[in-house]
Amino acid sequence: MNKKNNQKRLLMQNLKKQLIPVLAVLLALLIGMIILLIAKRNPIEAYIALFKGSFGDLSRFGDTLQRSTPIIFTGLAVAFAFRCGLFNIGVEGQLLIGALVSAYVGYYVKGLPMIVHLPLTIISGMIAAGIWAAIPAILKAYRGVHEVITTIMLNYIAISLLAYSIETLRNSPIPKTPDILDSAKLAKLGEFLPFFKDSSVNIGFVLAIVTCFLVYFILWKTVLGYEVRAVGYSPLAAEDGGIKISKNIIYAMIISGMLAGLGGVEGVLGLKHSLVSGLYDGYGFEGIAVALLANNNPIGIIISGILLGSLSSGGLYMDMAANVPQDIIKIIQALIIFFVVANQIVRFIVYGKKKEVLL
Amino acid sequence: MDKLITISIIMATLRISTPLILGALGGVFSERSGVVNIALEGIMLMGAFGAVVATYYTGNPWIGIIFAMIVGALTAYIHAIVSIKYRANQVVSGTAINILAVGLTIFLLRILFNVEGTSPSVKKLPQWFIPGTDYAFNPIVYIALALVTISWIVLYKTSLGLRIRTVGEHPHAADTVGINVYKIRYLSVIISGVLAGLAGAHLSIGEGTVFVREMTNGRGFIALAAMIFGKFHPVGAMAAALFFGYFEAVQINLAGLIIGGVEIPSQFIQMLPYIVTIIVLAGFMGKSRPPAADGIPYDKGER
Amino acid sequence: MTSETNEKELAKMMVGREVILYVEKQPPKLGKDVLLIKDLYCKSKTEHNILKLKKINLTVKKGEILGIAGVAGNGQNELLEVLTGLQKASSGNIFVNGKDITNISPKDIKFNKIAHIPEDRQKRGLVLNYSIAENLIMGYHFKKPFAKNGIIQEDIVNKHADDLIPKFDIRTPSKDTKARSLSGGNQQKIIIAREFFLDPELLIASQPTRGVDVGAIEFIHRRILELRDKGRGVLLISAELQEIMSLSDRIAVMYEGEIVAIVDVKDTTENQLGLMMAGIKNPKVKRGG
Repeated sequence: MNKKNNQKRLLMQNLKKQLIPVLAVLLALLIGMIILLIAKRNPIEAYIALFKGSFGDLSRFGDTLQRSTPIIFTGLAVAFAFRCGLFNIGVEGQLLIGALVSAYVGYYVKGLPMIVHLPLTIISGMIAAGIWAAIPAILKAYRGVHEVITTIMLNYIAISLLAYSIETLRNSPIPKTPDILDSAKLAKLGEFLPFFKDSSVNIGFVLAIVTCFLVYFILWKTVLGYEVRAVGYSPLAAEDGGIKISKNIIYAMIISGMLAGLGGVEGVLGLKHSLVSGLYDGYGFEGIAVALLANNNPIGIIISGILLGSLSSGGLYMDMAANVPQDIIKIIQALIIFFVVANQIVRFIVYGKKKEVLL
Repeated sequence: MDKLITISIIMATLRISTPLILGALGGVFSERSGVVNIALEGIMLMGAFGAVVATYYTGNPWIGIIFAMIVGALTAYIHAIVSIKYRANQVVSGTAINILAVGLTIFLLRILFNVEGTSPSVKKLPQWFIPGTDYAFNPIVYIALALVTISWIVLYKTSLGLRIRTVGEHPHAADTVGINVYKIRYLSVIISGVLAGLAGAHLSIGEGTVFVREMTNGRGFIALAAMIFGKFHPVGAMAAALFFGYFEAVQINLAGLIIGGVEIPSQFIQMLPYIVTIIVLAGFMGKSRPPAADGIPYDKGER
Repeated sequence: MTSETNEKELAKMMVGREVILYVEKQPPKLGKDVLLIKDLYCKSKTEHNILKLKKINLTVKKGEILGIAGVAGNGQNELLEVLTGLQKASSGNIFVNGKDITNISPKDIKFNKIAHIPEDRQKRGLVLNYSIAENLIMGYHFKKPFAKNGIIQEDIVNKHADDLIPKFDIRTPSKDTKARSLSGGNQQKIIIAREFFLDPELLIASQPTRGVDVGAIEFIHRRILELRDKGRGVLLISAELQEIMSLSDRIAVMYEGEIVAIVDVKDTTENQLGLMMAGIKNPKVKRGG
């Protein structure tokens, strides 16, 4: 009898937890409507345009999936770091470094067949981004520097490096580097699935989904994941159990950086085939919203990533069709974060924990 | 050497450091009471925008300053509610404010002025000359320097300051003595918002005449670094802010710099303030300790 | 005499049978030294010129329980942390079964057959958000058979939990319940199950029954005694004088980071211990190691 009641209670708790992100999105959309009304725009027209822009036809749906790809990666990056109790705001910079290095390797390393060149390019982007994330991690682990400031400084340094690369490598008035070699390009899905023919979605999206499952596996089925999560939940208990806190912080940040780097790699190898100025603005911060909305769960990130990606990709269309500045989308994203995070109060009632709960 | 220190560079340093000083002072108040305020960047941006909007509609930049401070206070208030009342993770809340600020300001640029990235020009603040010299700064520069002393006095010589510091170090002890922890924290965060808003006003109508999207460009974060480097003390924060400001000021003189026969690209010179920040923090972190209760939401019921 | 009787009656009514508050134990069958602490010093973590442990000399023999009596804050925490690798000793040595284990890492402590029950089970002893099964492998989660090639072997972990839960009387709806939902006594039993699984040569237990219900107290005391009767060594740190006196064979008193007395339990009383814990030196008491 007791067992059944307990199971029921657990189910209700879980349901309550799943409800928070849904409520957050709905509330944010509602406030978005109010803002639009104040701004003398038609919210209904706007939201319909938003929906049509993201899901209106297969080609647009494909574009939505493409737009979701980098933020699924950055979402995974943020979530992985959160699981270790770290806040990786450096995802913006790590993404850029991944893009940068992959653009170089994709263009300069000549004479390799695709079967070698493509993985090489992807991996070099990942490793470079991982190193970019390792810097603040090591500074935190050994010098106690709070990772928030170092990662943000590195973000700005990465932006300058990107500007430098484009300036020095460009071969035309357009602010972009020369196209990468064909052997490093990620094929568009339209080549295999005819209904995505006119869409920009590429294999990078498939890579993103696979990575979500991979991250799930790492976190819940491996020793590394066990240790990372233990450090995130209870660093003192983990230490008592023989787990080295500093080692895991560094590993978690490196993996987080590599995931963010993949977001940049996809943009270069799959979408633009070169490094383009201004393409990656805000993907890192969107990743934070993606992670929070999915409660830092890699499988949930698939859904929240596509949801937030649809907001952004539909936003472009909404801007043109309904004359609504697409920046309302950023406002809605910020509101979503607020509501997810302020809804921690529900967690309080459920868990009665004294400190704020992020996981 | 003459490229590194000249009167004009010193003047430029003062001008450029002003938002950093104000931001760092704001950070000191907030963090001393125990609330991590990553939102300074976003609040500064909102202040910069508010200043331009108010000056546009009233033609008076002084009203612009006041409005910037009000906007800063309101934005900070949102951070305060989410962090203090809802006990959310303060870094996440701050980041959300930063995202909100970027989106909202660009959105309003479209709605109010029908422009894409740069606002229309407005009247800028007057330049006040240092008596007997040819050098002038806008009023906010002077206000900022005065505020350093005022902040020091408030924080260390008044009972309010004592309460703020106690709340940041031992909130439970403060509570037992009858100090309203929540109220003090709200106040401190709002103060930080006012100061950051003022910093924003300096950026938009102090030195220029327009608001440009994302014009804060990381200054809010450098201000935080200055606060940490300055050991959470108003005077230290000012010194650190000047230190960081110097590197941005000297950039212009360093353009076209050649070391060892190689011309340093402008983008690398741009990176200088950020690289210096990291190096400084890495070297000094061991000695700069934040208030004991910094970043930990206060729970009255917890023992 | 009356107060003891009332306690016993109350405990009996709560648990439903005779609860042994004063455990009956056989005289110790002593063997060689399992733990030898020699001239141990330890500095404070925050103020580097203050010594938290001064010239500690202790031994624990196989088959005995050495109790550490003392008011909280007299160095017991530091002693526990140095013994379990969480803090470095500034000088001195610790030997377990003849092997010098001074300053080895917490990870290696376990693999020298030293088990410990930390003082704060919620902060140090358990990851509250982990399930019981996940907590039961903490410390050896990376070793065969629980993990192979870095991948956790779930079926082994589950079987481990299924074995230990009834064996250590952990009352829970399921092994996947989060540790946070359990009562203090059951939480403590998880830690005990996990540590006893190592079949330790030396057990260091700090406040093992604090905040624990009466039935669980009895269970925990019995398991500690079993370990002692099996010929292992136990170092018991506790603020409960009753517990110290009922379980220990010998008792060391800590005061201001020093061992001020070591007595046989037969030769002392609660009163005398209380006085020594307050720093009052008693000439009738044996000193030294």
